[in-house]
Amino acid sequence: MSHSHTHGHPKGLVHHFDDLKQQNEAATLGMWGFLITEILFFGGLITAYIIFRGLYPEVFLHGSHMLDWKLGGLNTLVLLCSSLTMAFAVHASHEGKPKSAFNYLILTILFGSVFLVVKYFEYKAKVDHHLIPGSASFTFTEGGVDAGRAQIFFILYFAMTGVHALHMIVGIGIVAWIATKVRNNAFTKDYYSPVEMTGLYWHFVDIVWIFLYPLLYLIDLTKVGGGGHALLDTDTLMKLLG
Amino acid sequence: MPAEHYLNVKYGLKSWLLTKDHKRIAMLYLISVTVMFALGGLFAGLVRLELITPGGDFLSADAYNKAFSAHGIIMVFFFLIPAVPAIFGNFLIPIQIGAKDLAFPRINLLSWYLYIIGALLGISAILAGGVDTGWTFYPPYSSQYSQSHVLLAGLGAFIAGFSSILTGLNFVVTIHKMRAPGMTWFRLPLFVWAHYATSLIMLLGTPVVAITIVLLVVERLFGVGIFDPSIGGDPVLFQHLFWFYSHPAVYIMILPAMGVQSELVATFSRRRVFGYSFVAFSSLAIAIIGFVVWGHHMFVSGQSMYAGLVFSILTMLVAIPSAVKTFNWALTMYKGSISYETPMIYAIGFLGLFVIGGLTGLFLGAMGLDIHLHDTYFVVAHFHYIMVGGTVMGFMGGLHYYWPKMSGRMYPDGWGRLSAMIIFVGFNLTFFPQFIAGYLGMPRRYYMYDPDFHIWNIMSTAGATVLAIGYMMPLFYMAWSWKWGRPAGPNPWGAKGLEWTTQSPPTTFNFDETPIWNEEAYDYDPEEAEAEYEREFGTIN
Amino acid sequence: MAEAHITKKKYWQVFALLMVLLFLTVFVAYMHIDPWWAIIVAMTIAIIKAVLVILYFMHVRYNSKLTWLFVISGFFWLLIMIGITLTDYKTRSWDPVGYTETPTTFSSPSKLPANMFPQNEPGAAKQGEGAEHSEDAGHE
Repeated sequence: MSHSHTHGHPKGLVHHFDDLKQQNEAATLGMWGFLITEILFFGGLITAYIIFRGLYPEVFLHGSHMLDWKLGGLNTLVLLCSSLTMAFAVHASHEGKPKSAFNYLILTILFGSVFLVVKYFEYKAKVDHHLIPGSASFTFTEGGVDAGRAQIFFILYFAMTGVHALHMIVGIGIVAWIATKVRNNAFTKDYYSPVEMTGLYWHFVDIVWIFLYPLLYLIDLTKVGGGGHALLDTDTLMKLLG
Repeated sequence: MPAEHYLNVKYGLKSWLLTKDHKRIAMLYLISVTVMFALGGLFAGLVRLELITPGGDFLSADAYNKAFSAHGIIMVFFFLIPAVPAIFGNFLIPIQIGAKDLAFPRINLLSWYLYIIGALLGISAILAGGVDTGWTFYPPYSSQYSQSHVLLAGLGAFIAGFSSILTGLNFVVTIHKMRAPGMTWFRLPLFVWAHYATSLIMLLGTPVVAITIVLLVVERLFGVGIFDPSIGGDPVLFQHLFWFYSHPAVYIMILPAMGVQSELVATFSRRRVFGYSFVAFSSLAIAIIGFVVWGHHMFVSGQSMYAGLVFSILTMLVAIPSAVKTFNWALTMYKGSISYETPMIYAIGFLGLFVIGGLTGLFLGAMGLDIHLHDTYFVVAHFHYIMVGGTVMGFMGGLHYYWPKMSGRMYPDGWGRLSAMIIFVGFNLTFFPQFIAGYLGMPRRYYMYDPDFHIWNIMSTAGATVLAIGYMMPLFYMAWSWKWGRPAGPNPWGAKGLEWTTQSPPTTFNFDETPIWNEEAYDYDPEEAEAEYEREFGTIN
Repeated sequence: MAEAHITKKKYWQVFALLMVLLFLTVFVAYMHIDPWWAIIVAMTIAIIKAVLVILYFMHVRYNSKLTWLFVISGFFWLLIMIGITLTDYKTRSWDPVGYTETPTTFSSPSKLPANMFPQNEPGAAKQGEGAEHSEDAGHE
């Protein structure tokens, strides 16, 4: 497009790199290095979750049933949609279509915001049901498990989803910033690595949720409210399979 | 002195505080890390003063707890972890691989600011009244019952952790992607290999301690048991998560110093490092094996006996790559043309002290013996032989070796050698008696002790005084040389390597154009070394 | 990066697959199966979803070997952390704070459970496991 004035110094190339290829590879590697630290950051929480679930299985079963798996599922759906539009935004940048990329980025922000709104209502429901760990009014009577231990489930729930939501908020901010740059034609077909890096971050946050959803919301739903809700049990399954 | 270099391109505070030049950021680190070292040393002084006598007559029990905690927190998080990588790694890695800067200069500057914020929080925790948990923040010391300022100190360590993550990230990407043409992996100086291994640990370990501190903070704020056993939490879980980072962090501290050591030994023996690729891979091996041995800190803390057994065996494995390095340094010196400039004095000191520190580490890694030695002064002596005898020796050696490159001027070598020897003597006088006191059963972290241990503690405190004098001397002659030192020229040591082909101090972008490198690492001529040896000492038979 | 020639169609296919897996994971949670298998199945589905996102949305399939190595090592280290920590918990023969005891109510921090270390109290040994407990206590 504007190759006439990229002569000698291509658009977006920083002085201490030799060429755009080197710069892009460095950016990709740097982003993945950062994402590795994020894996282990969330990994610490997941380790704590595993240990406590192993120590107090009943507490986690009943605690989990206080969460609304339908809202969680809706949020998973929304996040997967946002990942799709983010992938399309990168794709459009790759093809040199800033307008289309901009629209997809806006869609991504919209999906991300829907996620946060749903999350807000979920948190609010926890406040209403006196499920805020550490507060004096914390009450938990399900399944006869100890309320003190039930707090551990909820503190982990809030820590995991809270840190994730924080990443979502940061992510929305970055996507918005990148969107304005895309709108101002800051990128070219050859130089769009900021868009791509934003995409990597966004997808990663999505992956975290992919793990959080079954861990927190989907612990044996057949036992919700005393059990008997199985869509399918092992015997029926065996019969179906012959 | 060259007409234009990175120090004189711009003047003024702003040109330093907003710089993106890796060399200037390294100098910023040098100043701030030195300040923290002095502060940490001050608290070490308080601890040693209290221990002159068996009774508790200088500090109260509480003040003593806070003094050793402050010493530990400052030295570990704000000196040992950033010291070599953030100063010498920052300054030298781009020059050694032929790059104009690190891959992400702005992130590099950000990491310095994070370090400063972390350090200020750490200091403010001390000013606000101190922390009495020890540097490990073990619950229940650090849980909601503790009245000290765990939140501030924890936050400081958390933020300093991100500083080290960003430094590691920068190094990994730079070493992978910005090597000059011809600078292949096996032509890299071993300094770079060591920093690569260090950076991997920073990336893979630091986030875990960050989230652990977050959980600790959450526990304190909400009063919910995560780690506090009295309300259903699990203190052993804290120790697992904490040591998953903090054991590898020990290698973050020692590996860069080992990198410096390889440079020093090769340069002042005028020989290629013996078994180059073994030394290179041993760095990676230490980094990787270092991640699976953390449980040897937990032999007596309620961990499963079987897990302890496995950790004990795995711990023995770490000794192998460390021994490979030690033997290879010794073999590099064998038949080399050794000269005893200041950096080499430190290198020789490192070698001896690291061997003692490493071998006593095996005592502690053996589960049965650790039951006896756990939480005694034997442990204190062991890790000071590694951290001070290893890392600080490497740091001082590196400072004296690279100072001419960083400042462009020579310091007086005689003073340098004198201070190096004072430090060596003072160090051994301080910490060797602690091995004995510890083996005899003196527990650590108490402000009073049995009068039977009195003599060992007097020796230790006397040694600490000598050590302090040794550490203060470079402050004066280095500052003197900054202005009045003899100009060093590009290569004052006659060393091999890309960093010695640039002017001293280098220009802002290190090289006018991307260099092309055709030499092997440490390409010293063995015959030349032998001839030099013969000139000085007669023929080798 | 510029090598990534994924068509839009491919993104849609991956997305459809992710949707199927999402419904599958909820469906599995509604099946009467052994809790341990339920965890394994749920995690397997989550891992497949994550791999799909990493390979296609994040273009790792079309990236250099180095990127592969980075991604794999990140998850491998997570496994090291979880796996080795579990070796401790899974091989303990004692019960340090009475986790497996019937829950006592101690939600307020000031109220410590009366039987925090049941194996140290005379007469606390009970129900088969007791013998093992008291033996451990004897060694301490």
